[in-house]
Parts: sequence; C-alpha cells; structure tokens
Amino acid sequence: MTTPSSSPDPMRMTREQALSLTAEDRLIYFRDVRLKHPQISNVLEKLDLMTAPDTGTSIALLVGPTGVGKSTIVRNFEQQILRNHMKQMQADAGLIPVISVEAPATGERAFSWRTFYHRLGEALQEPMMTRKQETVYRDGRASIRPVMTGSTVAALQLAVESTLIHRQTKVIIVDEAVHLLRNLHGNTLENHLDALKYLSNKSGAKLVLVGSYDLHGLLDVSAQITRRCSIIHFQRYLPDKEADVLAFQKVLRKFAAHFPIEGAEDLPSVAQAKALQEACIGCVGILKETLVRALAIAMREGNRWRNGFLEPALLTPAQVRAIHREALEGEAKVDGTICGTGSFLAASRQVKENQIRAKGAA
Amino acid sequence: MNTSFDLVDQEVIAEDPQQRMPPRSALVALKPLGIGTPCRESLTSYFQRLADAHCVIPKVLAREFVIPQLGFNNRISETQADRFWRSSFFNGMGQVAQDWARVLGDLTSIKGLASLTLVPLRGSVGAQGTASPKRRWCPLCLEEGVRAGTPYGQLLWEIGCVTACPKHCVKLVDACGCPSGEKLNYRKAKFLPHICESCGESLVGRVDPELEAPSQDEVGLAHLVGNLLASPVFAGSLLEPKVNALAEFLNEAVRDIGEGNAECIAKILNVSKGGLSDWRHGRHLPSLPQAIHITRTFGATLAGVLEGTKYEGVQRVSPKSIHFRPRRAYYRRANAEGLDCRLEAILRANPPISVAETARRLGTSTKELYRLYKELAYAIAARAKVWKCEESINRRNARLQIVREIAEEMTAAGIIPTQKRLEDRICEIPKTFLFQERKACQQIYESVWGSVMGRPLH
Repeated sequence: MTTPSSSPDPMRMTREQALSLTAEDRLIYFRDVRLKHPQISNVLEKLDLMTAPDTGTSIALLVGPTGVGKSTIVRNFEQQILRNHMKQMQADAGLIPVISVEAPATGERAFSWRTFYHRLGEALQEPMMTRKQETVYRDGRASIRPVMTGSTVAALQLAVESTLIHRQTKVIIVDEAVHLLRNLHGNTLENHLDALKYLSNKSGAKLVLVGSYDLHGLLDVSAQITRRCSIIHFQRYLPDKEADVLAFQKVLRKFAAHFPIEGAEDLPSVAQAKALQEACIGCVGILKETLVRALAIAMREGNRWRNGFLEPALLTPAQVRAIHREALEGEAKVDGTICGTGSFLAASRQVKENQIRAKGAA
Repeated sequence: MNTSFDLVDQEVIAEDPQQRMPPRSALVALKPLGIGTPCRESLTSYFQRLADAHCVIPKVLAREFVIPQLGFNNRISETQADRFWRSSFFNGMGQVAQDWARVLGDLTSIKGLASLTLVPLRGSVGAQGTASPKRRWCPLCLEEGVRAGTPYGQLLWEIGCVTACPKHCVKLVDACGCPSGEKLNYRKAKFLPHICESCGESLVGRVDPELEAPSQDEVGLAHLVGNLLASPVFAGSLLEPKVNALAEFLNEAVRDIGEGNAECIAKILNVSKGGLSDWRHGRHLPSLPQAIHITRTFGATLAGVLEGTKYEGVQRVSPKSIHFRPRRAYYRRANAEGLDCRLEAILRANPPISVAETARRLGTSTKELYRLYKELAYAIAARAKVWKCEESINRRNARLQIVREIAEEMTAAGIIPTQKRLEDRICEIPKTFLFQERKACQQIYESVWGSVMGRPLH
C-alpha cells in the first residue's frame, strides 16, 4: 500500500496489487502505465539511427498527429540514451548525454530565444544563467561586455554552446517545436533554423524537433536545411490496415491487463477494439486518455467496470472530426518526405519532372 | 527496421530509477592540462578557464559558487572575491590553495586539483619566496597552446625561483608591453591565461623572447623544478609526501660525506652551521631554491628525495667544486661595469621609468642603486615623479572633458545631468573617479546647464 502522495510504480506492481489502492492512487497507477507498442519501437529505432554520430543529419523532425504519444516517445528516447551512456556517466560526473526541453510559448509576438536558452541552460544544469557575460573580440583585443541586469541573448547563446560542448551532450530534444513557427515575419523562420543549425554544428549535438505535422514546413525553407533534416513519422494505427488493427487490439488488451478496476476483463472485445480505434483515430495516447477518463467515471459510479462507462469518456464527434482531418492532411503532407522512403526510381522520376518543368519555364 | 508489428513484444515501460540521470557535477568537469609533465597547469589558469567555460567572469564564479563552500559566514563582495584567486599564494602551498583546490574538485568532480598548486611540497620545503609575486609566462609555450586550441598557464611560471622556460630556453616574460593609453576598463577585463588583462590583447607574439637569453643556471634550475612537477610527488596518489625527507637526507649526507662533521657540509652548502642544524632537526624548512641546491650539490634530485629514495652514497663532492655565493664587494664591482651608461640611457628614456623598475631591469635593488649611484637614481626618480604627475593631470583633464561632452549631450536632449545619470552612461571612466571628482563634475554640470539653458541648474 502506498501513500496517496507517492506515485505507485507500475513496474513493481501487478493489477491485483493495484486493486487494493485508493481511487486516487489507482488513477495515478494507470496514468503511469506506458506501453512500448510496435509504433514506438519503430520510431525509436529510426530516432536512434538518425541521431547516431556522422550520419549527416543534424536535425531530426519527429512529426505525428496529436495524441499519438509523441511526449511518451520523447521520455522513452531520453531513457534509452541515458541507459546507453550509464557507464560513461558514472565515470564522468560532468557528462549529460541528452537534454529535453519544451519550446517556449511566452505569449510574446515572436519566439523568445531568451526563454529557450534559459530552458536549455536549466536542462544542462548550468548555474548562474543570469550572470553570463559575452566576450567581444575587436581589433585583436578581447574584452567582456559588462552588463548590469541579467544576461544578453548573445551571452546566453555562448553559455549554452560552451556548456553543450563541455557536458558532451549528444542529443537535444525540443518538444512542441511548432512554437518556432508561430508569428513568423519575413525570413524569421530561416533565421530560427540557422540559429538551431549553428547550435547543432558548434556543439556537435543532434537536434530532435518534436511536434505536429506543421513542422513539415521547415523543409521548405532552403535546400541546405532540407539536406540536413530528416523526417520521422510517428504514425497512428490505420483502421484499413490489417496489421495496424491487430496491433491496436494488442495495445488495448495490454492496457486492460493493467486496468485497475474489477470487472475490466471484458474490456478488450474485438468489436469494441475496432470501434475504439476509430473513436481514438488510431492514436494510443488518445486511447489511454479515454481509458483514464472512463476509469475515473467507473470509480465514481460504484467501483465496478461496465462497458457503458467507455462511451461518455470518448472524444466528441467535433473533436474526432478535427483531429482526423488534421491527421489526414498531415499524412498527405509528409508523404514522400519520410526518412527511409527513398528509392532510385522515385529519385529519377523527380529529376525528370524538374527537367521538364525547367524546360517549360524556359 | 521492424515492419511486422507482431515481432515486437509489447511491454509496460515506466520510469526506472536506474535509468534516470544520476547527480551531475555542479560545474563542468573541465580536465586540467599538462598533468604528468613539467608543463602542469596552475590552479589560477584552471580557475580562469573554468569561469570562461561557464561564460562568467572569475570573480562571479568565486563569489557565487566557491566562497560559500569555503565556509565564510559573511557574504563578501566580488572585489574581495577577486583578491583570493589573483593572489600569489593561490598556487602556493598554504591553506588557501588547499581549500580552493578541494572546493573546485568537489564542484567539478575532478580529483587531485591540489596537484595544480604547490601543496604537495607542503611540509617538505619552506613557503617563503616560493610563489612569484608577478604574473609571468613563456610566449612560445602560449603560442603552442593557442595553436593546439588550449592555451593555459603553467604552474612552473608561478614559482618565484624559476626565471626561464625549460622547454624553449627563453626567459619568462612578465610584462605585455601595452602602453598605458590602451588599457581596458577593469570592468571589461577578460581573464584568460593567454590574454593580457590590462589591454585585452593576446600575449602570444607580443614580446620577442630572443632579446634576453637565460643563463645556463637559470635553464638548469627550471629543468629541475620542471622534473619535480612531473614527478610522482605531484601525482594524485602521492599528494602528501614524506615530511622529514629533506632532514633525513641532510643527516645521511652529514654521516656519509662529512663523516659526522656537520660544519663541513655547512661549508659545502654555503650556509651557517646553525642554519644547517635547524634544517636537520626540522626546526626550519629550506626554501625551494635552497632544497634544490642541497639535493643538486649531492648529486640527487629533489623529486627523488621527496619520493623517499634513499641516499646511496653518491660520488663524494669536493668543497672546492661548490659554487660559493660571491662576496658583496665582488658583486658590487661586477655589476658596476657598464651600469653608468645604462642608467644614463634610462634617464633619457621616454616615457620615464621609476627607480624600482630600473632596478628590476638591471637585476639589482633600489637600495643598491641609491647607494651606488645616488645622483643618477635621484634624477631618475624625480623625472619619473614629474612625468607621473603630468600623466595624472592629463588623465584627469581628459576624463573631465568626457564628462563635459556627455553632460552637453544630455543637456541638449533636455536631461538634467546628474552624477547618477553620468555613471550609467559612461563606461570608460571608473566610478571611483566620478566619486572623487564629484565637486568638479558638479561644477561642469552647472556650467553646461547654465550656458545651454540660460538658467541655473537648481
């Protein structure tokens, strides 16, 4: 029995043990259950490949529909890197192989690099972020730019670069990276990407930008950026693919095995699974949120599961319509740009198309 | 890449404490340079590089991070914090060096930072005169460091008796040669081993080291000290050497060479019998140059003696072969040759230099100069004093002119010039000057305001 304040650990607890917890703890228990389902393994492998040193990719874009589990995969990927570097970290107490930050949305008109660098500094455990001073080299003379209040953005940038180098950081994960694309004027996007590319080049760390399909817009900036970027698609489970339907059923069965309420053994019926896949647009994250809501309802209504609890927990038709439309549009947008979909035939076709277009223009 | 989802085993994954980030060092784990070589890095250089790695100035790092760990009850200012790491005893063998090395080691998780100071020699040699009072460097070593991308300051340069670089056989340099007009405001000074903190220019290639070649003795001494720094005495495992190693060595020398006669050994070493007795019985410790001289005289090395190598009756040394300290009269005559001409040249030098600087350049003391060349020394001193006064007046006038210009600008913009506003706008003038000259500044504000606005300031 754990106290309500401490989070129950699903790794060390069976469903039967979880049944003896308080209602609040059972919700916490189920919320912390995370499945390494096939799509996650697939994306993790791609991420691992794209962030390996000397692959030529400096920025990896992880895109997917909302609720597919992008934030979960960020945590998984972070843990995977930490596990791979555990021995080195024990030998070198200064090493931080991976950091994960959320791109800030400060409500200002433009993207706040100051807040972003502050967050990177926090993730790197960098002290004295308000006392950073920029070194200026002018006419062969080095001097520092004295500041009275806070650090300038240039000083923060230098500090983050220096810390990334000294902490030997290999991967920087930026969640909600679409905030970079907000309120763009003129060539701001190009400047943003240049700054990110510079940070990656200077420190040798690979950047993983995580966000919705809007991130795909970064590829349209310039050929140079496109060459250095790779798109990794975190796809939902499609209802018209047999393998996806089966995988989604397995996911549901696995969740049911950890569903901490009596009578939940009936949960994964095939018919329900199919309907639930459509209602959740094939996204595991949405499925889990739905199940958490249903669990909360069930516990309030008598602590015993009935299939009727599932329906009030589902997304509304308007929500499903909006998410589904966005997912379809996004999937169409990234089609042909995802890493691993290249072929000689496709390349040759593209070259010919470009030649024809160039002749037509001439 | 997995294409069939059935192949993937679905498992529950959760936050595993074993996979979380273990506690990291508070400061970056910067590796000290030149470890195990005669070119071992000094703690001052390490501290400067550490501050640079965090993009802060050393005094901020000292005040915010190190000094609180040293157990100071009262919060001290940044200027006071500066006094620690810029002092000559920072790389010495005292408590300050030991404490700072320990705290920096804890903060960076780098072990054995005490070996970047002379702490390993503590208890073996005396501390007096060990540390160099001035910052010195070898331009060629720094040049090599810049080329390799890691310029750093060596512990060897911080030892007072070392005057030459054993690697390049050039004299160590202690002045960048930057004219006073090019000096940076202290607030803008950049502290790095290869940068002049006065003018901000690189110390590489500023002074031609071939102008002054060191003597064989200087190079030999530098080699011996360098070998000592590269020895296991300075390795992490042997940071506490044998305390009475030198006393034991002297006792063995008295027994084996002097056949029990300490006076003979005292004569060989050119010291008094009482002094030798103090060393032998641990009442006083010989200084580092003296310790090196003792061991060199008897064909051993200081590193070997401190490591505990037994004296094995090396070749008997004849007292005649020992280089005795020259007598004072001889010293005076030897140095007198050509000094007149050099002093006269210095008297005509522009800009004039002080008697202390003259003595330093001629390798003698000011007392000696005043005693031997009274008239010339007084003339040099008077000329330097007049020049210094003129410089001071010129500097004051120039600064007041800047104050006037800024006050005129502010008045033209309709802003009342005040001391506080001036302080915020002027970077190139120290605040202390504005404070000391506040009356003159106030007069300037009033005159400028009156002339432009046609009415008094208040």
